[in-house]
Amino acid sequence: MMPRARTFALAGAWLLALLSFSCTALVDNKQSGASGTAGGPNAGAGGGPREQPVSCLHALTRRVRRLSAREYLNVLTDLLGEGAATAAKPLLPFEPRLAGFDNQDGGLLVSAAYQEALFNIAEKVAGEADPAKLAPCAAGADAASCLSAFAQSFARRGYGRAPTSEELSRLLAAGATGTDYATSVRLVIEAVLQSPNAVYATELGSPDAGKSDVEVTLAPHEVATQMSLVLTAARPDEALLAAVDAGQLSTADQLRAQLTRLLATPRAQTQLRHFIDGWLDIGPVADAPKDAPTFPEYTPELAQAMQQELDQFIDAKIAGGSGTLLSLLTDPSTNIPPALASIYGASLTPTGLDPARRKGILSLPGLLTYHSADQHSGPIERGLFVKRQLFCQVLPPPPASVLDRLARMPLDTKDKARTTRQKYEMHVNEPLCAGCHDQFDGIGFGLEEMDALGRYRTTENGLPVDSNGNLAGTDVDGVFNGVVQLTDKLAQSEQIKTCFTQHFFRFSASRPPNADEQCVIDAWSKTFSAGGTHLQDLLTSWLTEPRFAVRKEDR
Amino acid sequence: MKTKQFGRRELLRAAGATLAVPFFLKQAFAGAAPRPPNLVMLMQTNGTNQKNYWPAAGTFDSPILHELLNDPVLAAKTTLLQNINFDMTGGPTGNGHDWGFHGLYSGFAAVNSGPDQFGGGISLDHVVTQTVKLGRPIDKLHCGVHAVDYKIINAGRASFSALGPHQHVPCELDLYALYAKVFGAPTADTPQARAAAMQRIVQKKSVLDAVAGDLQALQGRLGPSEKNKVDIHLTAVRDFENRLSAVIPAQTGACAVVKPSRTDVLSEGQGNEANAEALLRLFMEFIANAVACDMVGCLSFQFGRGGDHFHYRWLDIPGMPEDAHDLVAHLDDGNNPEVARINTAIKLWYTTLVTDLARRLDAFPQADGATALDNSLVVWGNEIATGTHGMDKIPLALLGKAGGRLKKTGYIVDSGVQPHHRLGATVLNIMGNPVSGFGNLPDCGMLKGLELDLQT
Repeated sequence: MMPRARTFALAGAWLLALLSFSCTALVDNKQSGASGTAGGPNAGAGGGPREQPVSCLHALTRRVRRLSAREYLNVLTDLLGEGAATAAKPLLPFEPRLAGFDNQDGGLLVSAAYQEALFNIAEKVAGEADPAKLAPCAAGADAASCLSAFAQSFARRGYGRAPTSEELSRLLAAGATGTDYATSVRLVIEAVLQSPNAVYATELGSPDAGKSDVEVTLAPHEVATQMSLVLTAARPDEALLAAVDAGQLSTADQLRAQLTRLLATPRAQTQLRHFIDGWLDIGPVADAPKDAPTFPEYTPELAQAMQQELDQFIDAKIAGGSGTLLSLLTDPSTNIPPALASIYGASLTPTGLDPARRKGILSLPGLLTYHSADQHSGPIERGLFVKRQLFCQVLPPPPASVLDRLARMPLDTKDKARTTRQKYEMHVNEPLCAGCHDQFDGIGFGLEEMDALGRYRTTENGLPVDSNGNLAGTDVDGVFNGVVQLTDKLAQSEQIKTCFTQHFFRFSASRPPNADEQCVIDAWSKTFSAGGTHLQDLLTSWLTEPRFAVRKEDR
Repeated sequence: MKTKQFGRRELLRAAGATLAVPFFLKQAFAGAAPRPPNLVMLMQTNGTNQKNYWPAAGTFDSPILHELLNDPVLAAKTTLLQNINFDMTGGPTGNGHDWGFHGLYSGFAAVNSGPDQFGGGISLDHVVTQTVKLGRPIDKLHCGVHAVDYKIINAGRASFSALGPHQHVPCELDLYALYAKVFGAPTADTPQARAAAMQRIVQKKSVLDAVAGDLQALQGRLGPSEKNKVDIHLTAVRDFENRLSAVIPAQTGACAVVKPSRTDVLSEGQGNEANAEALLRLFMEFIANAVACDMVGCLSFQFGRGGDHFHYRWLDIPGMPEDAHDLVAHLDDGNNPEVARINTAIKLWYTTLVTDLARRLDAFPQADGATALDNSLVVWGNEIATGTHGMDKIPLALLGKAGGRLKKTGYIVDSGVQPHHRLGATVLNIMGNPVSGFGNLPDCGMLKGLELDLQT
């Protein structure tokens, strides 16, 4: 880089810096004032029917939700094996996550490109399927009967319910155009894989639900699908389908039993990790941009090791739902890949991590690396991350005038005469900036002891690092120094627990909460907090929520 | 390396005249309405250097546009639209990148979805295909390049194509899949092969009929808001079924066999900027092929995600900092010559891409004696005007003559400040939809200063 260019090498985060208007952080959901009517979802653990106190949750409108790519691939795996999902994955269009999650109803459509992808996938995986294994038909047996039996069983797994007679007729009509039995089987496979019954999850109630009714109750198979998608990102497995068929998915105990069973599956572990990733707004660590000249040690191998530690930490703390939010926040990492030894440095002692320096998920190099800037620690990004993701506060983007100001007053992030904190501390002295930055800069400053790769440091550019931080606008306001003290404060926050619950609501409902659903979040959060922040309590609250299976008629 | 399969068109071409009433022929002879030009919508990101983009008074050349405007033939078919300002009606959310990325080609204000911004209404590409009979084998494609080494900072900036508020349509990234879709090699030349292809059409249609039947059954159970989702799905199925059944006239000459000039570039996924330059060049080639061979009626393309973070290492610009978005675009307020030099070099490179597209189109003769560029309308826009998120004087150019509907080209349109909505209204009128406005300005009218012949 030419010397001249150095003079305007600026921090990306600086665009967030010079805010010329006042801003007020808002909690990302309106208080409804209707809380307190929920009856403690975990209360009344008896085995009776799902009769519970009236919930403040308004009935949701009937809807259909397209499965996410991940959910659809799991359906493919269940129907045709992992090879089919592997073959299909690159054919699906890239779709971004909404608010951290890939299952949000608002982002899932079957556009022309998506339909073409479904067609191509169906054709490809059906072509690679072995009809003799999938749909064996003994010599001399009636091929039409064999095909019908196969269509019924295949559709049942693909749809999460038995096909109706009309649906079966359509499948068989498609199969009838095959010139031989194997082709017919493949055509049935193609039809099932593209059917809206496989592509969508319905929340409509029974087909014959009264059109004049104000509310409808989800059909048992829809309850099972909701459960299965949230817990495993897949259609119901055979045990759940059998429970539906046997009418054993109606009482709270029956639901809890299935919940416990599903939580023990590997898919549930992956699914809950996705939830935690969404809560933390974290994508693949390897996607974190790092300036190569500044951080030559940030190699794909290092990023992979960070990812491995992060994933294993989350899995261990979630522990199939029996883990707690508090353990995620405060437990030390214990399964550290050798490649991270250089990152942890002196923090890694023979007996584990130095508890004075490292504690909880916020201290993991993977998370610190992801939530930092490409050339430096990114105190602004980190502060915003804590406020937005952990406290659910809404902070507006900087106004356009910031960039004009930025262009006139460039800040050299490669300036070796000051620390990162010193470069950004001018926010405090700039009234135009302080209005917003007072709300989050102090958090990021308090994490300055961790550099952009999550390495503990006491100096930067030969100058002492100041990690004195400040939390403002929260229920645990006050000063702290370093990630351990910040973590201790966060662990005391009720707002953190409510925000976590809010993220869970969005994840489980596949949509953001309405303003008048804050009472549900408050009730769930109360149970969640009182029980020691077990994730399983949130799942139980959701599943046994009295309005869980009720939908508002919309026809 | 990706394995490519060019098979779809086998059956399309093999079907030949054996189908009863081919979709394409129905389209071709439907009514007496003039055939609309091919429409290409290009979306660049991060604005430009204003001083070096616009020609000085009395000239028709500029440092950034030099490669395009220095070619007298291309210059004569280029129209620059000056003083088009982004209109803030509707109060778009996010910042300038979101406003323009979602608003320039929709006329609607970007809306929030959680922390991200999405389109606030249907985008121009969909309005065109929903309201105009384009009469091409493929009505529309929305594609682009995402190959960037940067985490996704706003989910909505993955695609500017939208069917409605929040209803974004994914950007197709796989170049080779697009070639397979548009240019499957015709190999079914024998009667046996044609018979097999016909049989396959029958079978696939039966599958899609089953899917459509299930969708219709589902539709009947839904209320109005959810029905819209399934309507979109059903339309996609029917459109695909029509394409599957269509008869594409036998292509000759350059369109007989169309393949990408390179087949070794990974095209899917994120985080692979090493492929960006090659992919962007290959996409220009693809767009030219798809349009020149008259295979796609409306093709929209994005040169990256909104507010992109390319590093442009391949340009080897002296003094280039690591992050062009933060460290060049954001600083180019016109007052720093060093930043302007680097930003100009970056923007100039985009001009080479677009010039390549224009040159390819203009080298392609068509049946009426004109070139593919003459018969096309290429809209080249940018989500913002300046890297500092300025929204006035959006860099906008029209390439081609739109089949004669652009009566005069090779000049700068400057009729004072005009809202960006007029661009959409003008494009729709050129395409054959006589609207009086666009997006959330239903009465904005068309761009002033353009000379049009909408009867052609």
